[in-house]
Amino acid sequence: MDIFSSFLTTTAISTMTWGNALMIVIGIIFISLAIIKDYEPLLLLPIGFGVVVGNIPFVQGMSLSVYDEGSVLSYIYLGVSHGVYPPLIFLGIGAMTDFSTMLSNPKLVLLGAAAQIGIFLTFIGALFLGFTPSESGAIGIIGGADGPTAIFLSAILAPHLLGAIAIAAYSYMALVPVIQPPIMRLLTSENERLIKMKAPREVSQREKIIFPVVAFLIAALIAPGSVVLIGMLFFGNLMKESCVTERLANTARHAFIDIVTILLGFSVGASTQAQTFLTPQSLLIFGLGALSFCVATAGGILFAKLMNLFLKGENKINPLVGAAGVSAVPDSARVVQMVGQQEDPHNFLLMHAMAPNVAGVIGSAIAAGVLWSVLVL
Amino acid sequence: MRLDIDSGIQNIVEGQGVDIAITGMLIVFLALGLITLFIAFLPNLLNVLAKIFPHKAAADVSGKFSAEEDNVLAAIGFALHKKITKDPYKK
Repeated sequence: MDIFSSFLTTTAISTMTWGNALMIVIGIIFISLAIIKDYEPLLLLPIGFGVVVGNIPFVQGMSLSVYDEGSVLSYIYLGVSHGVYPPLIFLGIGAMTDFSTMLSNPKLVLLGAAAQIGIFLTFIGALFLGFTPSESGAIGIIGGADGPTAIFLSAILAPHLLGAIAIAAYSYMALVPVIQPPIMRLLTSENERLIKMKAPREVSQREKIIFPVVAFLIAALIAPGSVVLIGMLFFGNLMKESCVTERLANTARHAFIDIVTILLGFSVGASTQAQTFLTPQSLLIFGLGALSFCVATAGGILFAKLMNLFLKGENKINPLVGAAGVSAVPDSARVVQMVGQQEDPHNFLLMHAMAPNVAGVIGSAIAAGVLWSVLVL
Repeated sequence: MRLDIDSGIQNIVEGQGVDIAITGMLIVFLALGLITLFIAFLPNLLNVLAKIFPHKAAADVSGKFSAEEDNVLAAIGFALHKKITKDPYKK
C-alpha cells in the first residue's frame, strides 16, 4: 500500500499545475487549428503535440524534459538551442524555391526589404518596454515572419526567450490569412486592388544558376552574420537550378526538410513548459509579435504605393503584392492572391507576390545577420 | 504572475534603438538594392557572356531520324496503338 501511495505522488496528475493544464489546452488548440482550419498544419501539429508533451509534469530525478541534461528530448532540442535546425530548413527552402518571378521583375525585391521595417520598429518597441537590446533584437525578428530565422537569432541573442519567440513567430505565421487581409484592405483603395500587373518575362536557366552564387556573395559580404542562413538557402537553390544534383535537391526539399521540421516543431513545442513559458515577458512578446506582423505588412504595402508614384502604365505594382514582403512563404503570397481575386476574379497576383515573398526571406536573414553583429559584437 | 514594465523612451536612447534600426534598414535596403541591380543587369551580362562562351550548337532539328530512332518511334507508336484500341469492356 505504501508503494502504491508513493507511486500516486509521482503521477503527473498530482503534480499538475494550472499553468500546465492551460498550456495543454493551448497545445490542443494548435492541433485543432492545424487539423480543422488547415492553418500551417506542418508546423502547428508538431508544435501543438510538443506543447502537450512538454507540459506533462515530470517527476524530480527522472531526466525527461528538454531542459534535463541527458534526456532524449534535450538531445532533440540541441538542434534548436544551438541553432542547427534553422539553416537546415533554409537548405530545403532553397531547394524548393523558384526565383524566376523575382528575376523577371527585380524591382519587387525592394518590397521584401521594405517589409523588414516590422523587425526594426518592433526592436524599438521592445526596448521601450524594458527588454535588453539583445532580447529586443530577438523579439524584433518575429516581424520577419520567418520561424527558422527567429529561432536562429533568439538562440544566439536571448536563449531564455526562445520558446516564447518561436511559438509567437510560428503562431503568427499560421495566422497570416487572418492578420493580413484587414490591413491590406485598410491601406489600399479599390482601384489599387484592381491593378493588373504585366506578365513576367521568361527567365533563362543561366540566370537561375548565376543568381544564387552572386546574390549570396552580395548578401554575405554586406552582412556576414547572415552567411549560415543565406548560404544554406542559396546552396539549396543552386542544387535545384544546376540540374546536375537533382537527387540531392530532391532529398533536401522533401525528406530532409520534413525530418528537420518534425524535430524542430516538436522540440520547440516541448520547450514551452508552463513554469518557463507562462511569464509576463511571454505576454509582451506575443503582443509585440502581433504588432511586428502588422507593421511589416503595412511597410510592404506602403512602399509599393510609394514606388507606384514613380512607375507608369503597365509597370505599376498592385500594392497588395507589398504585403507578401513578409517572408511567410508561400502563405502571404497566397493571401495576396486571395484578396486580389475578391476584387477581380481574373486578376492573378500569386506569381507576382512570390517575388517579394522570397525577397523577404533573404531580407529577414540579412536583418538577423545585422542584429547579430550589432548586438553581440 | 505580475507584469512589471519598466518602460520609457530612455530605454530606447540607452539601447541606441533608433540608430540600430536606421542602420539595419539601410543595410537591408543596400543588400537587396544591390541584388535588384544585379538582377536588372543580368540579361545584359549574359549577352556579353554568350559572345565569349556561346551556347552549344542546337540539336539536329531537320526532322530526319536515324534507323535506331525509327525503331524506337515504331515501338512507341505500336504500344500507343495497342493501348488506344484495347477492348474497353475487357478488364
